[in-house]
Order: sequence, then C-alpha cells, then structure tokens
Amino acid sequence: MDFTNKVPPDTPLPLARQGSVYSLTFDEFQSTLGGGSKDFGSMNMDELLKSIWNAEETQATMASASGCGPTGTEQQTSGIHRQGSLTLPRTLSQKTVDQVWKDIIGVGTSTGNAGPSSMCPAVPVGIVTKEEIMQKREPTLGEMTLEEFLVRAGVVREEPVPQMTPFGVTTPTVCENNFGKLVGSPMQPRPFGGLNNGSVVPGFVGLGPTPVSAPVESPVDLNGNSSDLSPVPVPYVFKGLRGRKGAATVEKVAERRQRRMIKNRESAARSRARKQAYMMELEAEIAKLKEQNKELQEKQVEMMKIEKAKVQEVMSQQPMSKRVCLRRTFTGPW
Amino acid sequence: MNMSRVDPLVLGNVVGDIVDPFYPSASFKVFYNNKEMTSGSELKPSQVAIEPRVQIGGRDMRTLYTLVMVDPDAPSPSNPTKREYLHWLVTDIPETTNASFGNEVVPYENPKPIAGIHRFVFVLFRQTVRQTIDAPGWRSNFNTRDFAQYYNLGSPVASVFFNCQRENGCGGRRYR
Repeated sequence: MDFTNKVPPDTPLPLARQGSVYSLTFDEFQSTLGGGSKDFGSMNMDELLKSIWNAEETQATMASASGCGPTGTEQQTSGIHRQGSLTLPRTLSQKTVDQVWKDIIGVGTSTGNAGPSSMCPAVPVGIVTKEEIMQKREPTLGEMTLEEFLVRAGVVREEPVPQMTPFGVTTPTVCENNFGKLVGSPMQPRPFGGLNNGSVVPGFVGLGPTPVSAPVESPVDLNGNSSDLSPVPVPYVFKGLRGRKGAATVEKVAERRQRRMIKNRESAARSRARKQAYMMELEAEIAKLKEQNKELQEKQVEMMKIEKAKVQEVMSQQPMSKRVCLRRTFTGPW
Repeated sequence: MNMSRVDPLVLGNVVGDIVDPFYPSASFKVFYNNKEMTSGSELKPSQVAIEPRVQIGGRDMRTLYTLVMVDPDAPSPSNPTKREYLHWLVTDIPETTNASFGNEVVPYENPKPIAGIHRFVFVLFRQTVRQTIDAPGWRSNFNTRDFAQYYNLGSPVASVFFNCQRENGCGGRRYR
C-alpha cells in the first residue's frame, strides 16, 4: 500500500489513484467526510476508527465499481474487518484523539505521559490550553496522515500481526502496493512478503518476497514523496537471487535496473526523434510535390491555350486553299 | 530546403553528431534500386546491399563534389564506439552527374547493422578544386568534420540519411 500522499510520478496509469484512506491527512479525511465531525480532537479513538472504516468501505465500493485493482478489490471487501476495539488497546479506545495526539507529540516512548517538548510539563493531560494545542496541532495533526497517527498512537503496531493484513490489502490497486508498501511502508514489512506472492499482478517481472528491502528505507517516510519508483525500485528481485540477498547484490541489481531504464529512455527518445524527423521530411516532400503539381497543371493549361490558338490560326488560313482543293473530279472509281 | 520548421537532419541528430549546422546549397538524390530514397525513411539491409545511384543536381559540370557515407551508430546506437563508420567515399563527382563518374576512394560497403537502428548518412561537400583525397587507414572512427577540415572542403552543402536495422529481428534488447 502506498502510504504516501502523492502519486509516484512514474507509475503507470492504473496506479494513479491514491492508495487508501490511511494516506490521507486528518484534514483531508475531515473534508472527505464533508466536515461531518467538526473536530476529530474530541472524537473518541473508537469513533475515529469507525469513521475511517466507513470511509474505506465507501472507497472500496467505489474502487470495485471503477474496476481497478484486479485482486485487491475482492480482498478489500472482505478485508475490511470491523476489528472494532480489538485493535485498540484498552488504554486507547477511551481516549480522545486529542489526548492521543498530545501523547504522541509529547513523548517518544510511552503513551500517556505528557511530553516535555513544547508543553508545560506541569500541566496534566487534557488541560493544556486550547491555543497551545491549536498551534501545535494545526500544522501537525491536521497534516499528519491517519496511518502515521495510528502508528504513533500504538493502535497499529509495526510488527507483523495478522490484523495488519486489512490495512495492506485495502488499497484498491495492488500493483502499487508492491512498490510502495515494501519500500515506504512501516506498517507491514513482513506479511507483505507473503501477501505479494498472491497478489502480484502478472505484469510485474520477477517480483518476489523481499522483506530485506523494508528495513533499508526509513519507515517514517510517509509524508515524504514517493520516490520509491524514481530511484530504482528496490523490491525487484531477479529469480536467480531468490535465496542470496546481500546488501551488495541488491545494490547491483538496483544499479543495473537504473542503467537499463536510462538506456531505455534514450532509446525511446531516439525513436521519437526518428519518427518526427521522418514526418517532417514527408511533409516537406508533400508540400514540394503539391507545388510542383500545381505548376505543371498551370503549365499544361497554358500549353493547351497556345495550341488552341495555333490551331485556330491554321484554320483561319486554311479556307482559301481548301476551297481550291475542294474541287474534285467526278470521275472517281467509287 | 525547408528551414522554417525543425529540419529533419536536426531532429535525427545528424546535425550535431556528424556535421555542424549548415545551409544547404546543393541538391542531390539517392536512388536505391531505382527508387528515390526519402531522407529519414527506413530501409532494409537487403535493399541497400548494392551501391546506390547518387545524382547531383545543378547545371555546371565544372563543379566537383565529394560524397561521404557514414554510420554514426556503429556498433549500436546506445554505444557508438565506432562512430563514424565509413561506408563510402567518392570524390571529384561533376555536378549534374552521378557518383559513378567520380573517384571512388573508399568502396561502398553495404550496411549490416547488428544491434539497434542505425542512421546512415550521406554528406555532400563542394570541392573548390580537383583534389586527391587519400583513403583513411580504416573505416571505423572516421570523423567527417575533421576530414572536411583537413581537405579544405568547408561546410557540407547537402545531406540526407536513412535508417536501417537488422533484417531478422532481435537487434533489440541485450541485458546489461
């Protein structure tokens, strides 16, 4: 699942759709709900999750309607489990988003402690002034993507957990997953190794399970650009290398692919130039021939005129002599 | 010659790779198998196996021309280590006649591209005097610019090119 906000520039068309609700920021999510819930802050975590699932479902139905994602859609509809408070730790489900958020920004490790960073340490949770929160939050929570929030809140763990599968599978375009999720996703490094096998779109060559690649990329690369395609897609693994992935081999493979891509681009550019050059030449020739044709036609008209005039001249001279000649003898054999 | 739009020679990168920009001041036609070759078209190796008739237009038989035919994409367009590969060199061609009236310094070698789609370029120079031109030691890595400078041929006066690729497939991909 591509957890980035932007569409990778190099992905082919079917992948153009944004991954899933999880990659939306709070702000965007809010707006998609039509501003239904004014402020997520005071919403319960439970409610938040429910609304996310709602949004996902609607997206799923839309996705299946538009017919994108060959394998993703079936899995999707089944994959959106109402996990309900199963996924939410007790501690979290009762908290509001606001509180969880404060926990997140305040602390790196444990949830529930008020953080020292930019908040008044003495003030207990929940009583921090609204303005402060707004200041801190507006540029941040609103812009934070849902998934990152969930990760940080501890709702979603980074270890491979079976419940994780719904997240990964919910994206309508599985193809995109294969790139995005392996490289840029923190949430499901391992299970996707297995998942990919089943859901790989046949168009992708040699894509095998590559759990190794996940740790290579920094996990919190969510809000960043999805550059997973523009440098070489690391998850690509050739069939021969299935068992022996060292860091060096992966690099080499990546480099090779990069070179190939560059060469391909050049070749394509040459091809286009060739085509265009020929086209220009043909057009020029057409123009030339048309011109020539026109001239010749005109010339011909001229010639006809001259000839006509000549003939007429001859005709006008003829009558005299003809009358003379017309006198025939009547003693012809016939 | 139509210079208002981008010239096919520029588009095909002939100008740049082989020659510098020039103003065409002569005209010539290349006939393979009695069929006029359109610049930029694609021909098969079988069609260009035999030396073409290169007809120089004009009116003054006293003007002499030198014709060079090179392949800038040898051995492959993505890796042209042998640029330019000299296929033909004829000098002292009188205007209004064709190349068979000239002096064939380097005999015609028919194109045999192995990898990729190659351009085969004809470049025409106007000679100021009748001159002796020596054949280079080898065909590979010929340099038309240097050649013209060395023999005082000045800028080219005309040029056409065609594309050619291997007759039976797979001039294409090689991994690596």
